[in-house]
Amino acid sequence: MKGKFSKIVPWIVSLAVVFSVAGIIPVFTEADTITITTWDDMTAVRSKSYCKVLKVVQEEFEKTHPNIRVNRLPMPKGGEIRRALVTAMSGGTGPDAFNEAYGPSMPVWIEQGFCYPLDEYIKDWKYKDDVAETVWPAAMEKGHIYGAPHYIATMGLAYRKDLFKEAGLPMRAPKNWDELVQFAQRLTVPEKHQYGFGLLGQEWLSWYWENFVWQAGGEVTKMLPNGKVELSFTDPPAVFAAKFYQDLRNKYKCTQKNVLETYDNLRGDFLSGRAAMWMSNTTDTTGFVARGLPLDKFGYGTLPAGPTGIKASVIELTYWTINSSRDKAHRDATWEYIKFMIDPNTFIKRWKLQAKYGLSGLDIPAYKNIDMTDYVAIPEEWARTNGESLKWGHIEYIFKDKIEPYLAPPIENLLLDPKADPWTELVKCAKKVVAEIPNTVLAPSAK
Amino acid sequence: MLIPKIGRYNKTLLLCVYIILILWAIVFLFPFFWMVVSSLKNKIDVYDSSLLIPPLGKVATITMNYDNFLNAHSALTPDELKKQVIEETTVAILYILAHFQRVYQVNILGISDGKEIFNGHVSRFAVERSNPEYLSWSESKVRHAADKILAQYGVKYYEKGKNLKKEELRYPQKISPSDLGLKIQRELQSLNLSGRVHVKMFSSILRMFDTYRMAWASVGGMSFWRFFLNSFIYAGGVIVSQVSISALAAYALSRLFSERVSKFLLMFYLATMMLPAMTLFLPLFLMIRNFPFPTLPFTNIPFPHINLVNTYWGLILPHTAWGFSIFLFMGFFNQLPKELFEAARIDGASEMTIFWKIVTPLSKPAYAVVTLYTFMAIWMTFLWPYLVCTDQKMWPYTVVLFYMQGGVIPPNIVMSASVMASIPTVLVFLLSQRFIRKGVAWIGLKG
Amino acid sequence: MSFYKYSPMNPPGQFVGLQNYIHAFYDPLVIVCWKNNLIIFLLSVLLGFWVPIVQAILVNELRFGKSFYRILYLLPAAVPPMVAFIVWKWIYNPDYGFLNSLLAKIGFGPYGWLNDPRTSKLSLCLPGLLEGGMGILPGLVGGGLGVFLYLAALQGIPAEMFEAAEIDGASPFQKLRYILIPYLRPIIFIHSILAINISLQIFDQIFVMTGGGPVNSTRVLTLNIYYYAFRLCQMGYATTIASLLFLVTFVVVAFQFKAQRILKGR
Repeated sequence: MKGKFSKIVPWIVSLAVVFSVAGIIPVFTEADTITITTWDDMTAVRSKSYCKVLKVVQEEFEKTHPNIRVNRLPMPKGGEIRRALVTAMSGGTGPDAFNEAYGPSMPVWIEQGFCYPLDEYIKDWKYKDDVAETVWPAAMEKGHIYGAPHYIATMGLAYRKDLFKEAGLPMRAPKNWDELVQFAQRLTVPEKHQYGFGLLGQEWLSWYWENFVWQAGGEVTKMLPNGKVELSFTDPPAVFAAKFYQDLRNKYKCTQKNVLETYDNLRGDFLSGRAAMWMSNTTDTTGFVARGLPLDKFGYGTLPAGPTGIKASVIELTYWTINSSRDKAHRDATWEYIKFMIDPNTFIKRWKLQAKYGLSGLDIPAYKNIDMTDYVAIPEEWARTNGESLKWGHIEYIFKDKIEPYLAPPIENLLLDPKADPWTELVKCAKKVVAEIPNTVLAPSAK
Repeated sequence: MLIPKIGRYNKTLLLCVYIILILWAIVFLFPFFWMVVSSLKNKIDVYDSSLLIPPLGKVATITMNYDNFLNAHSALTPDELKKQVIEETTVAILYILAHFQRVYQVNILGISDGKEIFNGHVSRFAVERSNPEYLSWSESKVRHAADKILAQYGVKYYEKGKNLKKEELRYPQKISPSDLGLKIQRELQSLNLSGRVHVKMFSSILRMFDTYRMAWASVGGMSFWRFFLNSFIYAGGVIVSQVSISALAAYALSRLFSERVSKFLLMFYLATMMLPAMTLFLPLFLMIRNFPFPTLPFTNIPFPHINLVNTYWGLILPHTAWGFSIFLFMGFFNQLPKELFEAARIDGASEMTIFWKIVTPLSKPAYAVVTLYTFMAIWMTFLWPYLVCTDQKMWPYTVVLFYMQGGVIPPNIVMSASVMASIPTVLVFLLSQRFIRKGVAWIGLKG
Repeated sequence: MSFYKYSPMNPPGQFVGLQNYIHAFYDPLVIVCWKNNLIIFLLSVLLGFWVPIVQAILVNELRFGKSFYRILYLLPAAVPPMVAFIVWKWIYNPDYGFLNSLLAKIGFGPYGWLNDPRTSKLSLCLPGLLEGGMGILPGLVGGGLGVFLYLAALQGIPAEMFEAAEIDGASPFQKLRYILIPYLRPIIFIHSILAINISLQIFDQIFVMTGGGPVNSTRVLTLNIYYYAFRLCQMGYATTIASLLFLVTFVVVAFQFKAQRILKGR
């Protein structure tokens, strides 16, 4: 028996050595240059050609800034970004530069102290006046700027042209709610497991629903003159939007039955021809192509107009932020990197590369004076949609990050229960929010 | 035995027991049967839940006949002919793969004047793994890159022509029997290719397993073996530490302390089992980040520490000793006859020697049981790796499965990955079936 | 941590005393979570707990082919829970799932299963009915291993006892009551401790299958801890809920031990 054990012991020891070496190595790799960590290895989340273009630009940065080394870590997938950032920040492994700081999340991250104020950097930044004014407020808190504008995305309605053709519908996105319902009903073919319109349920639901509220002429939340936030989602337009949302699933029966589908699941349904229409981000359009959906098979139009004729679509602002726990040298190097990445010339370069390698991403920077269409040919419909969405665009509602978890259950309940009354559900929710989130007040309609 | 051996109704009763058990087994094994069935279906049929048996994999064989073409365009040089043929072939192949999702593979054969001019086969798997964007390209773009694409998938072109076998010559005359074949043929003919197109469909069992190749080859651009390897290293590391540390701890508890103390300590260890894992994860995560601690405990003096996030160490260390394995080992050690130890002590053996030379060899079954159930438990863990490993390279397969099911990957691929993920444990269980039985029996006796 | 408004960037942050605990007592979401945990526990006991016992007793009755059945009943334990969750989610899928299409054939449904706040908890526990607590009791006593545990105990019962009982003219039911159950009691005890523990700590299954959804109907404490800690970044409050959960688990198990001792004393 002793023999057997002496055989195992070296194994244990060697395993232990291997593991400890694997663990310790990062500690000893100290370079003379400054190394900053970023999360802009986008291979897991974006298409191949997108990454190809991005890589060229990133390599150029390394060439022009030999003293800054960039350690690129993969960007987590959509729903995971928040968790990943929170764990990484609290674990001390947060990136120096974070490129997907999503507008509504900014207040939370500023509050937690993740972001370093960029005032001194922005002050000396060449292009600060070229940035559209609407971009700044979401990155500001108590007069300090915490985020450098990265890109803007809007929401549009992606539809399957091949399924439209089969159903004998015109090759365009529905113009208003009535048409949406009418199209979606024609496109719902249970035998083919095909449904007309993909609805988002669960956590991020209000990201879909808010568009309907704005289209109905309402607001989800309003800033009052006294600095408090009014929960106007109990007002008639929002209630009407909630009713419409409820009817889409229960009365018109033109959506998928499974409300537990994630945004990515919906995308999969759309790609495989199960969902004929869904609301998707501008950045997604090129993703469809990269995943093998032929250009002639899908279109991308503006969101349908509500009864008021408003075609509101959400504008998502994304920022770069700097990790506040780093020393000055790192912060300065990080700013150099950010400055390079958001430079208008970098964007122009990326577009030119896209013209060469193929269209890969509709990342629209926040500058007023440059236009993607001047450099790269994008399908005419997309360009038009994007222009129109920006024109009708509506920035995210105030306090979105705090209110979203409260808003999802009542609307989900409406989706699942055809008998539930939108107004009562929303009022119940508003009361809960007021009780738990400071600085919020009920709208007059809730009383 | 509740049912006596002899008696009037006992045979019928026994028969009932058999029937109940077999029905029960059928019902609970059905989900797994359904998993295998779903994994073998194609992208389209996987959504059809009334199909209990997966349809065979479809292979389309296209024959393109250029006889008349040559006669009509005798002015064409061989190079021009080659270019035309290659372009058309590529267009046809990619058209079928893009528009007929059920087709797994396209075999292509070009004939001119009774000779074979090109030959090859392109599988959906090969295209979707390497370049899914080909499927979305427009015809002109495909034509432009045709020779590159064909070369990539190994379709051969014979400039001089190759003699055909008799049976190959014959089948262009046959009209394809299946509906799908006819449909493909009609659509290809509408593309205005200059060769005459004939399509014949084959069914192939082998092609059904392409879903497995797909799942194995590319999950977020990484092969599945990597995730299996991570799981194995994770489980292996934990087993090593469990077996070495828990055994020693249990030995100490069972021999070196008085009964009262050891009972108290055992209860303490068992209490760790009852701690909700969720409670521990936050502090554990912070600890793994700054291992062993950032500063000397209770002071502000910095202490050398390393970051174990995204390393195997970070995965393994929290599992070094479980209360439960200590409990198992202790139960076993307590059983060993006391005389053995006394005799050894009289011989002047140290505690370590007793442990190595007497206890260990005698408690092989205990080691085996601990190894087995540690393997099972770790192989199935999800949450801790999910939190600790932000880097995809470190993911065990459970995390990958979680990502797959919430993403755009079609369910047949997800199910294939699930089947593959269950193979190792099923094998381990079947091979060590008798052993598990013994181990479990023995655990039961301890309780 | 539970006494602080924990700040990950500047630990430990602001000391708030018992404020987190007071909040946890009044937080309606936490109350919903407790309720859900309790219902899931009751359902899993109702649907899953007795399954391995009955299976073991039945398998033990067999005269031939016992080892075949043993392997058969081992299989569900061999499938990783993550896989089982994914498969069940796929079967429950209201659009393409097998279950609804089967029920439609015999004229029922369609039901929402996981999609309906009324049935979501039941759907989570239903697999346990078939597999002896799949997912709810993974690993050691889940699925097939539970059967093994009980089977081993049954085989430890000396055959003479049954023979003696037969001679005394005892009916199968009496034998069950007076011979089998007393023998199985210690294992039932262990099993019940684990069942409580695991149903209080249930996370993976819900995280994968419903994400706490529809209308918070499957939101349990562990999930709440996760959301507060990693989504809303309120780690102090998350730790508070976790401590409460631990406290309750501990009390319940201690109570069980006590009850066991009293039963033994009788």
